[in-house]
Amino acid sequence: MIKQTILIKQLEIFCGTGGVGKTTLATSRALFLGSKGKKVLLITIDPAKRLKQILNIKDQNAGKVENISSNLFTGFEENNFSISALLMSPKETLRKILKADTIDNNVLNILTRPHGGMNEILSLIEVQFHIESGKYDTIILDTPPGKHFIDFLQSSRKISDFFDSSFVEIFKFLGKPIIYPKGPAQKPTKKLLGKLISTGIKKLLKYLDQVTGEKFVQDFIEAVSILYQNKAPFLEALELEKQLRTFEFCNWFLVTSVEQSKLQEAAEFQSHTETFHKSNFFFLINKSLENHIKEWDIPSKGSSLGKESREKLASLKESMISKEEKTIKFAKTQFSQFIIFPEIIDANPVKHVGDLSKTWKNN
Amino acid sequence: MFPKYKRLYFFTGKGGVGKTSFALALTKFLQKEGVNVAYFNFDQTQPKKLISLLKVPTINQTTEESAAIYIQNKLGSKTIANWILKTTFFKSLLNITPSIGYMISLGHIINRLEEDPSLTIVIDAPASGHTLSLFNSTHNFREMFKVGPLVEDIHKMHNFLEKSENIKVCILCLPNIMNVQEALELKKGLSSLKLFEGNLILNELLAGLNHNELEALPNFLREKISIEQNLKKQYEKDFTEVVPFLSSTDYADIVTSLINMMRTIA
Repeated sequence: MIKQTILIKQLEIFCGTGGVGKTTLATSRALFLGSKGKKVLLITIDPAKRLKQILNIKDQNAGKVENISSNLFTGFEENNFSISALLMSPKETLRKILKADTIDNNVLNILTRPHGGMNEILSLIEVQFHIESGKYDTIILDTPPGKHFIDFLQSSRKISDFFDSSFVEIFKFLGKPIIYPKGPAQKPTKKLLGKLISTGIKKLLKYLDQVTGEKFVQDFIEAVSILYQNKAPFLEALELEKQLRTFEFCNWFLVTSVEQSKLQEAAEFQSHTETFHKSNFFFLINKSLENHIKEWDIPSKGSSLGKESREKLASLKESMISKEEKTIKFAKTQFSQFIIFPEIIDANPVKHVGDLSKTWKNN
Repeated sequence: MFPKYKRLYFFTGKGGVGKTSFALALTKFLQKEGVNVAYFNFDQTQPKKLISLLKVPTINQTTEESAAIYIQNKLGSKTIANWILKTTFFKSLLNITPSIGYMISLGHIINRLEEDPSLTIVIDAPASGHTLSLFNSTHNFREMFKVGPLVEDIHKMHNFLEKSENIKVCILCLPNIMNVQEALELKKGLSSLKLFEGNLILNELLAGLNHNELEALPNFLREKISIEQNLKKQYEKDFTEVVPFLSSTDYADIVTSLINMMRTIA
């Protein structure tokens, strides 16, 4: 149910609630594009990092681009190719921002740990680096589940607030100068003093001193100064956010699955992306059993199965059909373009990815 | 008397495993048992319709509200607390470091439990990766602050979380390999924080069919069940509980039928 063949974009974003198969579908898309000769980088932001399990990447290699051979999957025997994959590591992203091998600041070091909570905020910057590198035709982004996707969407605005000029100027005033390459920090002007009073930052830091200890406040101010000196990548990420909304640059794939009746959440997701271009927005219905259910015949009266059992199976079948129908109906009324992916019944996630990429071929 | 139930329950696991259904069902179960209980959704995305339909008692508290109360208690002034929260500085700080918000919300929940010894809270926690960030937050900030009243408060929080009579953390999981691996990693990650151990609960699909009924199933479902049974066998020792998965298109139905199965989990 799509209007035309999906155009391949520079950035393709997979989002949706948890457990619907975002990572699996994103990987299948990467393989499909790879098989067409495209240079693809697949990035996962979710700190749960399920991608490593599909692609067999070790935790300690998070933050490094890995080469994944198509040999790992079935269905690509005719042409051998590889795709690149990256598990987001906030620490590695920060090192790139600071152009430094180590991070000396205590606060920044702790916050950029694997579970320090900084994945979403730093992910657009990571994407920005790889777009600028010019190495890839397409970057595929596997986003975190639920509300954390919204955090990702709003990360640029949050960063921009953080670098609000009055906020940073104030740090200069506090005698913790931001060191510019040339010359000493400037003395505060009268205008700045006005700002200082209106924002009351000094008083605020005094309170902070009381509850956290002075050493922390020093570390914290140092952390902000370090970030401010290296603010260019943050501001570039703001530009990237604008591009996400353009048809030429980006495809959005909102994933849902038939087995989960989380259509309400899907609708909420959509409302957050409403300002985006409609024609590059696709609703993906994963784990459809439609074809299987069609061929399912409940044993008839007179078979060895008792009445109660027959009814039990019939109601099971009925509930499965109803889930499929409900999802399709939702898709038809809410989305102009949707694609149905079959459930792959196999114990091995690698097999799922290979089989799912066939559906991309037909779209 | 040894208390029959815990003070704080967490439901976590990969997305779609049933965290919300289980948390709502347990809240209803405890309420029926006469416990003063409330449901709290950590990501503040409450299923409002379901909550009003099932009349689930809840706690609604945004991170900002929790922060305001905390600062107010620390500095002894509501005016100052509200003023601090309005500053660009504090807002940006909270926005750019979500882990501060995690810690504040968790601290607030524990505070409430300490103030009211009759209260029990059931938490619908974030998915695995973000639950690890939530429980890592106190450790990270303790290391960052080193000394001061905030560190003392973190110690108080840890004291509460360390006592096994206070807390039960349930990691839900569906019978597929991606789910089980994520659940095991989460259990290991939580265990390394040395506060509590997580309990793995398998949400078993298509349970409750007898031999003849299973035989009559179409091939795709038999295959599905056989994959799940193999996985169940392989990881048997890791699961503390197996709960049959209830297939229904009606969410309220699922929660209602789960309520009766909560006795063993509580």
